[in-house]
Amino acid sequence: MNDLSGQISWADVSLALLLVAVAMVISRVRRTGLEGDIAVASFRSFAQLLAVGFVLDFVFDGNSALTPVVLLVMIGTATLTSGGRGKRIPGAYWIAALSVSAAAGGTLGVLLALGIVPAVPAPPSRSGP
Amino acid sequence: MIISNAMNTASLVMSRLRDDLGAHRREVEAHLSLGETATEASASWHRSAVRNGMLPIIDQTKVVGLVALPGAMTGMLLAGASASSAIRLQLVVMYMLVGGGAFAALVAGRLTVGRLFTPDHQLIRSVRRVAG
Repeated sequence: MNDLSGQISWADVSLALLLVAVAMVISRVRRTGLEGDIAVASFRSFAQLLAVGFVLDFVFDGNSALTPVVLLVMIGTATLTSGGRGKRIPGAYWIAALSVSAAAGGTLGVLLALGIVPAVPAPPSRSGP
Repeated sequence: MIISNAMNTASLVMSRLRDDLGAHRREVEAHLSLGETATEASASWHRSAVRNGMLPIIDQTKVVGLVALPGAMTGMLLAGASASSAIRLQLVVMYMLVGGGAFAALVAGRLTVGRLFTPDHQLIRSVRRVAG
């Protein structure tokens, strides 16, 4: 393995936060009022990636029965986000849920039906992504 | 990725269609008063909203690799996978996103039109309240 994953330490990650600090300083100087959003976004990305990274590792490690749960969470979050955008349309959440599901179901259906991706990931070797 | 892309597409289609029908309310109602159905009267805005929803992913597919390096492909290459297999994966992903965007735009457009008109082919009240 010559990937980068072993080379970035948590100390390095916290150093990279300097870039976020730069963004916040710029935001403050230009008075965009985005400092709060930047802080929230940084914290959320930290918490979300931490949680999702471990969950995905667990699911890919032979617990693929949980895949539908992961998919449901993803579709649910997407529905809430997109439905919130269309607030002035009655039933926007249903529209969002159905179109997101249609996209996910339609594409995955085609890929599976044509055999482009296998339905079950190859468990032992973990050669593929 | 399909889901997050579909999410953006659905948001775009819904808000664009709602705004357009609101802004062109009188035109839409003129169509309706001439006896067109809700589907016919909203067709041109329906088309532009679906188009608008699909554009970002199409543009992204056009410039992939030139403007933004796709994360999955770069990751596979860094992890030592062969170039060809990384490329094939990324191609499938891009085509998948285009297809998913089309599905999402289609469903979102159709359902939004259904929600913005009454069963009697009138614009719903909240759209009619917009000046125009």
